[in-house]
Amino acid sequence: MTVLGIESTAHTFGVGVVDAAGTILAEEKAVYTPSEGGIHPREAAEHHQRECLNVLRQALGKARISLNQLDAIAFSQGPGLPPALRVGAVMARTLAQALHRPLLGVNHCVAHIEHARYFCKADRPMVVYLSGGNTQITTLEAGRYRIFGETLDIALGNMLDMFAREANLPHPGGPKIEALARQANGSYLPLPYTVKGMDLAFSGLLTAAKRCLAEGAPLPAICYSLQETAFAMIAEVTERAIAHTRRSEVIVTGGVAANARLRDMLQVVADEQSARFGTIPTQYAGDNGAMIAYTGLLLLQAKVTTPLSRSQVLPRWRLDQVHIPWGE
Amino acid sequence: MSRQIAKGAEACLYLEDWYGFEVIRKHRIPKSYRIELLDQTLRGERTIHEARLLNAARRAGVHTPIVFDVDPEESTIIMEFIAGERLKELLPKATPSLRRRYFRQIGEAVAHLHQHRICHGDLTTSNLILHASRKIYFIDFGLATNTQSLEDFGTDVHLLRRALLSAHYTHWKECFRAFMRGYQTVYGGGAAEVFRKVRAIESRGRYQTERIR
Repeated sequence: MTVLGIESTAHTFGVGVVDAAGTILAEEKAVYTPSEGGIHPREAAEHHQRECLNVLRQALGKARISLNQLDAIAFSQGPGLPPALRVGAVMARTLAQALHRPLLGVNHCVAHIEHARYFCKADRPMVVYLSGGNTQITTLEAGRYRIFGETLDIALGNMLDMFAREANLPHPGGPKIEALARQANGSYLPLPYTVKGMDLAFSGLLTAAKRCLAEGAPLPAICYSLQETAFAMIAEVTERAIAHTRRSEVIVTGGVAANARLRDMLQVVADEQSARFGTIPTQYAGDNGAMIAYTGLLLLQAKVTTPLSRSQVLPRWRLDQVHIPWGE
Repeated sequence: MSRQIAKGAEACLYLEDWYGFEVIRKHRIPKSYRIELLDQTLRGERTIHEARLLNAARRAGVHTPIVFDVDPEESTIIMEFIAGERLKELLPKATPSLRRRYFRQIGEAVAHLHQHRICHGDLTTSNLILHASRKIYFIDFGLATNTQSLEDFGTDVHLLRRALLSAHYTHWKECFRAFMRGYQTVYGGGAAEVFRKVRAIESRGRYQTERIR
């Protein structure tokens, strides 16, 4: 059984191929980088349209497979930017119809989580999902991902990106902020720490960090303080979620999972709660087609396919709305 | 005598004898994942804050443990020991009518808090204890705030609803309905405004649900 997965929720147009065991046969992508400012949805979609066939060809070549050998076509149906999502959806529908193969609509958040679960060999972990668009602390319970804590305003990755742009750091901002923070020699500037119950808020933190920048505080110190504050908030909520549910595993996934300081903090949290800690391998932390293909495989095995009539993109599809047949 | 009776994510609770009283010593544990300056600040602030708000809540007519002593340097609070069972464990085995009665009481108490401009900030079933006297005690005011903002009251109610949805998804609806009734009894006309705010919070981008499917 071989499944092709198409990812196109935001910056990345990705195509991945997995076999019946979930082994990645190919993982190819093209990433849209805005010339200035944040992601422009229409420009991202135009980029994806330009690149989609190349990426598909590369992926099939890498997997040494022809279209006829595919057993199903998976695509990220949401959540994401509507124009970008549509590019992947159109390609997926076209392939599924032309090849007479089942179509599998995958929730992008579920894909990040399931792929991390696969790599970490975790059974029922507490999941810390941190990316440019999402910040959620969640765990699988009775057929659904139950969200214990999430951001009340902007996502962690989005906050880091916006600060990086303000500080004129080149895209992507996260790794640059991480590198600068290491040069700060521990000089911490107090920044607002906002945890409301199990939920988090980052916009006040962003505003305060921008103000430090305007007042001429050294950039490494701001980067350091920004990371320490934001990640401590994540770590605190994660710790409480584990304590509340008594989960014995914690995994971190999504683009921000690549940050070493964040991993260190969560490792400490896991140790203190006697839980096993795992992270998604850095190369698969960001958006990619392989995670869509893998989650498509899980859906196919659970016999959950998406009829054409229900294959419209779902830009606001929430993680906790998805029925997870393998999590009953 | 000192016996650790609970180790939460944030603090350790010890059951102790304090000048002849049976007390809880709540010690906020240093967290090695965060830098010391941030850790010290957060623990000290939260200790003072919690003690202050435990008293304020009590004056508002809500059952909370009596605070005997506070030490922000050591980040400890000495308070009355509440013998009982947490709602978290109790809820699954309670009868529907008891569940409704408890949540009506909780609704009334939260309304009293809000009328006195106090937000609990962490309304989960782990922080509610049914005392032998059948009164429900509110504990852990570590994230509580003094506030007048409708947004904060809305968030408080929203958090309880979320806690029910995630940890008690089989009974959440009846519990939350009873909570709303209790809240309304005390808060009167103001309640509708708070519930509108809850809906507004939940309809924002992050919480909005997909209409299709």
